[in-house]
Amino acid sequence: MKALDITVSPAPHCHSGARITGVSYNFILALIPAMAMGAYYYGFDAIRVIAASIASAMIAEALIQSVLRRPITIADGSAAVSGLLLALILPASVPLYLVVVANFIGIIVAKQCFGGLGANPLNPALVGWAVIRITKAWAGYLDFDLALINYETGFILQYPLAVLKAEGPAGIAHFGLMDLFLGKQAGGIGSSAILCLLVGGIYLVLRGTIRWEIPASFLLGVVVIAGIFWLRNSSNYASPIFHILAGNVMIGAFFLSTDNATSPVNRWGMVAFGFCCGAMTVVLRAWSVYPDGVIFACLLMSLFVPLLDKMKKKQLLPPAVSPVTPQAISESAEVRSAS
Amino acid sequence: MSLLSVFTKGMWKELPPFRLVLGLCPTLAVTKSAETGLGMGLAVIFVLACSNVLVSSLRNVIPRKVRIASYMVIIASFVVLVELASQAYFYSIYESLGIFIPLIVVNCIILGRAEAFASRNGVIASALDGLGIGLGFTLSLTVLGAIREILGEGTFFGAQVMWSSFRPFTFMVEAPGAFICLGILLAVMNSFSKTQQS
Amino acid sequence: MKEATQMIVVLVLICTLCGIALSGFREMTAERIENQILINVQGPGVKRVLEGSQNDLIADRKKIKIDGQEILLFMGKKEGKPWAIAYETLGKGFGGDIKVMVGYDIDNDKLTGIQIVSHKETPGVGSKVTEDPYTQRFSGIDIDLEAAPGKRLAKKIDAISGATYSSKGVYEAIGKSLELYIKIKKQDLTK
Repeated sequence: MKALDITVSPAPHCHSGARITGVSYNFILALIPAMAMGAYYYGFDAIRVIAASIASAMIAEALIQSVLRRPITIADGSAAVSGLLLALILPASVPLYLVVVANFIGIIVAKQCFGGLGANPLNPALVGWAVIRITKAWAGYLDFDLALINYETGFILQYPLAVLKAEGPAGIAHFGLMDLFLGKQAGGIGSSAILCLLVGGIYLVLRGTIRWEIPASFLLGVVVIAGIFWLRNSSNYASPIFHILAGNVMIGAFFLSTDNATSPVNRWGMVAFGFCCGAMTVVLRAWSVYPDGVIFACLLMSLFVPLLDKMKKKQLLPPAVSPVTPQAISESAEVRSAS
Repeated sequence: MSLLSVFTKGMWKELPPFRLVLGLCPTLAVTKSAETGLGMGLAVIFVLACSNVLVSSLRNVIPRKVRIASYMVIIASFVVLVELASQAYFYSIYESLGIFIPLIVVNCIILGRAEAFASRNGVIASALDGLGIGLGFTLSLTVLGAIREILGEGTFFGAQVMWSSFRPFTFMVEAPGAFICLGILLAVMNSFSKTQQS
Repeated sequence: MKEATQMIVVLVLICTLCGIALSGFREMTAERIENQILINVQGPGVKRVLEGSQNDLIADRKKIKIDGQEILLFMGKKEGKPWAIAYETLGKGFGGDIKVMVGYDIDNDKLTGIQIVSHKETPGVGSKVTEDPYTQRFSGIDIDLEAAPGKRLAKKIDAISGATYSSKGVYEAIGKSLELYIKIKKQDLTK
């Protein structure tokens, strides 16, 4: 395989022991609380969507890899993670064929066509979601207010961000910030479980699976830009705390934007990436026609990653975490096993 | 090269959008439905065949230094002809193709065939070449348009073909759907011709 | 020198011949194209605002001159008698000119309705002015011929929130249309 043009600090290197499989299973482990929360509130429907999504992502990966005569790598769990992430940002009532189409497009078009894991410029789960969202006839299934109308969960089943978009800050007064924090809000299967995601995200940071720079600067970006809006005109824009606790910000900061292949490799690149994601999120929430902007913000900023990688070329990173992409890890593992 | 192979090479060996990867702008823009794809293709066949014939019959008259300018005038005249005719007789197609009819002038297939083939070959061969390449272009556009229309609208030439509860995958008739669909077709054709060669 | 002359002669000849051929073809198709545009662009709007007419609206069009300005007038007839007229005026919207077809009931001095013929407003926002819920608000409003310009409509129509410029463009067109209507009323329409 042709060598990738990646930014690596000078030798000698110290292998962190991270494998793609390990990264993937850490991700899945960290998402278990959020999954459990979704299953608790939405019951069998949520489990159905999660199962279908993981299965279709893995089938898509196996299928396209066998067609392209590449080694089949569904056992490394990366396809399962992207299927799981997609399921967690969808509402529980979504039809299964939609999940399957989103995963097939995400895995085949956005991941394998670009060369597979590590070479994909965009996160496959997010591409899958975006395709559904911009398909006019299907976008209604992603409207949380409509999608969750038949559920009985014991809290207000109005999507807070849609209310904010329609009525302004006056409409969101009845959403208790504590309820939002505990995950008692309408939203995706897992993306509304803010506390669970926070716990999972901190676990990932402590394990060194993801680096703290991206989530921290993501949240900072949301707070700063939402704060500017709020301080200038608090009757038109919601408070920064609300912006952090509502919608996809938490899952975006810890799980969607931190995908190794679609985020920068150096520290200041990561900070800029995270901050811009957060800033873009608030801007999209305030001015676009979509209630939430996290996913489009992550997709947009992923396109800038090659540029951000150039920000600072050579830099020694702490050896606790491998600074290179999973692709390079697997390559170095191959080299090691070959020698 | 026999006249038959001059005609048939446009169907596969030099199939414009897929094998030569020429003329992609209209290929992406007007294939929202099979009908517009076919309409565009027919317009291109007419312009291509006529300009090839004219360029080939004038090939000994036109001085080399002004040949591109002369070809452009000839091509542009035929395009205006097509535009007026479609406006007068096929208004619905004229509306859906819009700006892309005048843009046939700058479609690189047409100038490419005038320069590469018609300026060096006889009238009959040039006519066949124009017809063949144009037919290949039309077929490609119609196929691409049909795929996008069936998935994106659930119809084929305006007639319902999918089951009644089908929720159309409108992504396919939007711009990104065009790129993805074209890319997949290109990949399939490349792998097909690779297996043929080996 | 000979080469240069040849170049010029050939290019001029080709251009001239192409020009002649094209202008000939244009002459040939001009009438058909005008008809097609009338049927496909203005036709649907005219049919809506002059609903209930029994004649062929496109065929019964005529050009009249008001203050040196040429207007294409569509006339609706019931039992052979003209009852309503419609014509197009321009207003400046957010994205460009908005062309509005306004229909008048000439017996009762009423608006029969308006239709937007063409516009360049923002899809989903300004384009709301072209939709039925908005255009229907203008149907059946009385016109006060005596009132000052800008106050001739008997009922005030609210703008669409978020589409202020587009709504203003439509009002502007209707205002111009009303001024013309007063002048047209003074002419003999049966001719």
